Order: sequence, then structure tokens, then C-alpha cells
Amino acid sequence: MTQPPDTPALSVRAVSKSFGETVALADVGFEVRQRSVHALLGGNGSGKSTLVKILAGVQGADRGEIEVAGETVDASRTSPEWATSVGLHFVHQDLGVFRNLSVAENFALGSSYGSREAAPVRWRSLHRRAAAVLERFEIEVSTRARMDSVRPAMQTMIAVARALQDADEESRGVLVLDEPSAALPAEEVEVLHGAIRGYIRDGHTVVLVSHRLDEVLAICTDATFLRDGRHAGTSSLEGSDEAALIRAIVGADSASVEKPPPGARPEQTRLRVEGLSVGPVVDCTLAVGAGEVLGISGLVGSGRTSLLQGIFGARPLREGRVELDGEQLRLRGPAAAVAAGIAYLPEDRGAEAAFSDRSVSDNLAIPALDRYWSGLRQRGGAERRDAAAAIARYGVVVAGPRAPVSTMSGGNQQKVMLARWLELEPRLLLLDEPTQGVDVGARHAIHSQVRDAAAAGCAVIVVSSDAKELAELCDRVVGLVNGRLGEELRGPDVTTARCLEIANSLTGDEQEALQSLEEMTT
Amino acid sequence: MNSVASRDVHVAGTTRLNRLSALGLAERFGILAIFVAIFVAFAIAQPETFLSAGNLRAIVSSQSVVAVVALGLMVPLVAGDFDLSVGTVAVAGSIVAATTMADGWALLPACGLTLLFGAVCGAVNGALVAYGGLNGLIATLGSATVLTGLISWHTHDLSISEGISPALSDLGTKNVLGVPGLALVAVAAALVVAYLMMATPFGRKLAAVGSSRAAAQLVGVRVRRMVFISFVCSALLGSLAGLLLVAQQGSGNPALSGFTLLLPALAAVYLGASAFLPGEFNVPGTVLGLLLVAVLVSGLTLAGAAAWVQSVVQGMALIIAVGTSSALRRRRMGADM
Repeated sequence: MTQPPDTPALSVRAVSKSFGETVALADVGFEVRQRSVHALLGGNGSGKSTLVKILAGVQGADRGEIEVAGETVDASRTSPEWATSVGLHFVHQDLGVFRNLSVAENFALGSSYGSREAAPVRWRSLHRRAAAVLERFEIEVSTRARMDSVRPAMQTMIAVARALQDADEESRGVLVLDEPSAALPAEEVEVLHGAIRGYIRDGHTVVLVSHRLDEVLAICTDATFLRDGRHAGTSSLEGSDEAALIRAIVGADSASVEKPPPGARPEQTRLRVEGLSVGPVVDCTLAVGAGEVLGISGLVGSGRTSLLQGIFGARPLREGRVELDGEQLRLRGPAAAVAAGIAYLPEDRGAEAAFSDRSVSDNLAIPALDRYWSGLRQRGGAERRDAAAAIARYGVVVAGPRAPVSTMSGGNQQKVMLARWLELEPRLLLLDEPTQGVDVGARHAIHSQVRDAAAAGCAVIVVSSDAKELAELCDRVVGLVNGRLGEELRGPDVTTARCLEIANSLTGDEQEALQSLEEMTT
Repeated sequence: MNSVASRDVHVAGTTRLNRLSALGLAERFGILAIFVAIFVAFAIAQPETFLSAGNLRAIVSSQSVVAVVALGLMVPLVAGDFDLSVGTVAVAGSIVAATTMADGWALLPACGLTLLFGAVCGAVNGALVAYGGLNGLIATLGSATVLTGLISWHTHDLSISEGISPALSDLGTKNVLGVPGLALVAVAAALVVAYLMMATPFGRKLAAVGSSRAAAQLVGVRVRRMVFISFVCSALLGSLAGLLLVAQQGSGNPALSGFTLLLPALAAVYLGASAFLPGEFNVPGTVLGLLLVAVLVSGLTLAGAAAWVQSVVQGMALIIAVGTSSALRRRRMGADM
């Protein structure tokens, strides 16, 4: 199936899709060059995911055409079988891997273990075939390893290999990766990018859906921008930079939030943490002033979430003390922390922050229910008025206070989760990846709200794997490496590059220890 | 902010809401409409028997015990836990009340001890589930089985009918202003539970626990304590149902199985989650669900249907109710998006 080199690997022509009166895609058309890494970019609600679903055949379009490998199909008639037959392969953000099964079983599940349902599984041939696929994709892992023991980037590569396993070696498909790096720590992302470059060398074409602009600039050659369901341009990314990407995605320059100049205000120490050991965190001592935003730059597994949860009382401390405004806290649990004026925004919004089936009004009120208690009943009117006011103040886009949170976009959900805490005027705000998977507009809105809260005297700790976010938002950033606080950046040193660096820098001893550990495991 | 995007999403939200309100009416009041339709149909078909004051009182009176069991079942269900022992606690409570009165206790102390017994049962269940981390379904199945054994041991499987306070048995037979006394107690219990669930921070927090335990914990709700209290509430209501059972039967009857009380209650609670507040367990819906099944069974019985029809109707009501309410709940969680 070799084609002339100048035919596009994938053409989307005039694809439209509406849900009721909402237009998700309007006449979207673009071409993806063969052997390119093509970014599909746009904010939440831009139509990216609808387009991916149409390509995958999960959803039919209303109108339009799609051409892959010289085969044209009516965009309303795509199906998963069609996608496989023309060589369109998909790996979604959650990978669809079974973490409690072995690598070989993960390969086999799609094809019911290669034997009949009730017949005994032929383990040996299963492992042989899996090993062959792994070898073809140069993934060095045992077929007997349990999926959750495999490093995260490798899991993504295994998912990709699984998607491509049935394509014979000659055919060159289009691989659509939907936010493959969203959950990966920085060094894992590098490994994944290496793998993507490998697929291109092998002659595949990659379409990448991503929120990470640094990633797009690092590996993509072209980009298509979607804005409000419309095609807002397709261009080569040569010589492009982040500001240009943001302009193309948002349609206008989004200013970065304003930070007060360093040392502008005499800071009174609000939070003092001494000798804290919790989870992987060892002997952590830090202080945050009222009105200060402190960033923690750390990778997944560095203990950054444990640190926040330890201060919040959601995780038992092994050692150490936490003082708020000079008073030692007794950390009996989140309820006590909330009562003391501490707020914590967890990383996993769906599982740990949102009450998805409940209304925006409920979501806003739940930490503040006792405020609405009149002694006889809940004051529903006051609650709804406050909810409507909060929706307006925080720029939440939603049909009304009674709409379930599940009907909103991720960015708007996150605004509600933050608003819930800011309404309580906390003394200390703990943010864990506050803008992960959130579009550029919502990200800017969230950053402004955090800065406003700090200006009003709140002390803030932000944990983020997004170095750019830390540089934009924080007055001061400390590295957290393998559970230990490391280098600290202040004032003009708080840059994206330095923030990234301090999350990765190891002390000499640790490097040695890590090396010996790796030798032991291999 | 991108104004075009905001407007589009805004429109999306509004249309969704409009679509909901057209369909939403049917969702909210569908069960009520079915109830009215069935009621009117039987009333027209059998005006002398079905519509007689005696029959209507019998329906209401016979459902009072199950209604209180259903209310008890609902409380932990709002937080996401099953309490399968409510029915058995009711039977055990009726034995406690009958035994103490047979021993010469006055009515009020006997009632007090019965409720205390219920609270202790609930505390045991609550401790197992909230602090012991056991699955509610399994823990309460176990405790219900233990209770059944203890009832049998204590009564030697003989009913206790001496010494029942006449005031209590009058409650089971007499009417107040034309309404059966039992029903008045059930209505009072329903009002208290409705108030607790809808108008107090307790009810709202319990609903938050049911929506997401992890999220509730992290916004400062004391999840374990809430779950514990919900089991205490449920067993307290169970023991109240036990008192009504003595009033209704005039005795403590160990041969009664808690599960015959539990299953219609379960159907009512789930039917209730498909009415008024679709996808949420709620008191008015539960009462309506209970009456719907009761009216259906009564009408069919009067029309000459055999006794087995009752089981079939109740079983089917349970399946349909669970099916609809979980579909509604899934939609609220956004699974259709």
C-alpha cells in the first residue's frame, strides 16, 4: 500500500456535527501530510474530541468526507471496523490497559487470548506473539511483567504497540494519540517522544491531541487549530513559539497574570512546616507568608501530593509539626483543616473533588453547609443567590446553578472547585495541579483568581508538573526531589527552565543511590 | 476569555435544560401519573370494593410498617450503603417490645427500650461498615442472620401476645379523624426523615457522601461519622417499625421474616428514586412508590388474582425501579455526554 509521497495520509473534508442546537463541528477540513506529527489543538469545547470520535468511528458526523490511504468514506458512516481496515489506530488518554494483568495478557485481550472462550489459554504462544510485537516496536519489557509494574511511558508505548499489532509490517497507518502524555512525568514524556519519532521513521503518521504546548513544539511538525467547532487554520510549526500557538488557539493574546514585585509587601509568616515526614516526603521544613504563592516543582512520585495532603491532614504524618499563624495545628483530618481555614484542591477532579451528579450550587455549598443553617432549616434562597453570584464572579460558563457539574467542560468544573474554596476565604490554599487538562482561557482565569486570593492575604502552595505554570504563578518555587526539598528559586530566577530543572536535579548521593538501585533491578 | 466560546457553551447548556424540562416533567411526575391512572382504573372497575373506605384504610394501614422500614433503608442508601438488616431489626424490635410488656413493663419504657435496642443494632452495623470497612451489604446480611437466630433462641419460635398494652394495639385498629393510627405514625416518621434529608446540613452532607466519598472527605465532611450515623438512623427506624408491627399484629411474631418487610421497602425506595427528584432517593418518592405497589396488589387481589400475583408484582416493581433509577443516575453522572 505505498502511495505517492504527496498524497495526504488523512484528509478531513467539510465535516459537520451538531448535538441538538449546539454546533460541535462546522465544515471542518484539513489535510495531514504523510510521515508528519500533526498536532490537533484547541481549547475545551473546540470540537477536538468530537473529531477524534468521528475518526475512530465511535460517533457519526452529520456531513462531510474522510479520506485515509486513498479510501474515501462518508463521514456519517465511519465505524471502528472501517478505521481499523484503513489503518487508523487510536490510543486514548486512559490507554485502556488492564493494570492488574501481564503485558502478554494485555496484548491478547482484544483477541480473546487467541483461543475459544472456554478453551484453555495457550500461554506459551501468547507470550511468543507478544514478545514478537514488543521486539518489533523495540520495547524492552518482559511479557510476564504486570502492567502496573511497567513505567508509565512504557505503558503508553505498549498501548500503541497493541493498537498497531494487527497492522502488517508493510502497511503504514495513521496513529491518533489522544493526550498521551497528560499523566506522565517529565522524563517519561521524553521517552514517549522518542517512541513517537520512531513511529515516524518507520513510515507511520501521527496525529497528536495535546494540551501541552511545549510538547507540541518539541515533536510536532504541523498543527491544525480548532476554535468553537470551526477550523481556525492548519500550518507548519517551523519557527513557531508558544505565544504564537496560544494566539492561534485562543484567537487573541492571553496576558499572563500579574505578580507583585518581589518584596513588595512585608510578609507575615502564615504557614510554618517543620520536619514533616509523610508518605515519601522526608523531613520537610518550609514557610509561606500571607499573600505569598509558593510553588513546589516535583515529578510524579516525588511526594508532592503527600506533602499537601499531610498539611491538610488527609494523610497521617510520621513526624513533624504544622503551624498556622503561629498556632500549632492538630491534624486530625480534613474536617479539622477546613475548620482551621485550610483549603485543598486535589489533582484528580473527577474522583476527589467534584460531586459530578450534583448541581453547581450543591458543589459550591457543600463545604459551607453550616453557614446556611438557620437553626431550623437550610436557607436555600441564600444558597442559590450565592451560587449565582459565584458563577458570575468566577466566570463559570453553565446553564444555571442547578445544572449538574457533569454537563460542564473540564475548565469550568475546575473553576467551580476553586470557587468553592475561595468563597470560604481560606487562610491557606493548597493547589495540586490546578490547571491540568484545562484550556488556556480557563487556566488564565484560575491563575488570576489565585493571585487575587493571595493579594487578599491568603497563603498559597501550588504543586505542578507544568513548569511554565509555576513560573507564571509563583513568587517563589522550591524543588521536591524524591521526597526531599531541594533548591529554591526567588524573584527573577523563577523561570520555566529553572523550575523544570530543580524538579529533576538530584544531589550527588541520591544519584549514586539511584544508580545502584537500577543496577540491582536490571 | 473567548466570548464566542462562552456563548456557544451557554446555548448548549440552555438547550439541554429545555430538553430536560420537556422530558423532565415526565421523569418527575411519571410515577405519580401511573399511580393516578392505576388508582382511577381500579376505582372505575370496582367502585364498591376497591374504593370503599375500608379497603383504602386497609391499604394505608398495611403499608405503614413497610413505609417505616423503607425510610430506614433510604437513609444509608443516600450515602451509598445498603442496610439489609432493617426488616430483621423491625421483627427483633417487635419481640423486644412484646417480651418486655409480657414481663409487665409499661408501654413507654417498653417503647424506649425497643428504640434503644434499635440504636444499638445500628451502632454495631455502623461500626462494622464505617470504621471496620466492611461492605454494607455483606455486614448487614450477616447481622440480620445473627438477629434471626437470636430471635428464634429467645422466643423458642413462639409468638408473644400476653400483656401487650391496649394503647398500642388500639393504634393498630383504631382511626384518628378517619385515618388509621399506624398511618399517622408512619407519616410523622416520613416528615421527620424528609426534614432531616432535605432541610438540614446532615442530609446534604449525606448526599455528598453518596455522590463521592473521596470528594466529601476532602471538603471536610466527616465521612465515617456520617455513615455510622446513617446506620443508627436506619436501625432506629427499623425498631420503630417493630413497635408498629406489634400494634398491627397485637403480638410479637418470631415467624415473620425480616426480608418479607425488606423487599417491598427496597422496591419503594428505588421507585422513589425515579420520581420527583429523578436519580435521587427521596422521601415523597418512596412513599409514592410504596402506595403504587400496594394499590396495584390490592386492586388485582380484589379482581380475583391469586396470591402469587403479589410476589410477581413486587419482584417486577423492584427490577423496573432499580433499572430506571440507575439509568437516571447514570445520566446525571454525565455518562451520556
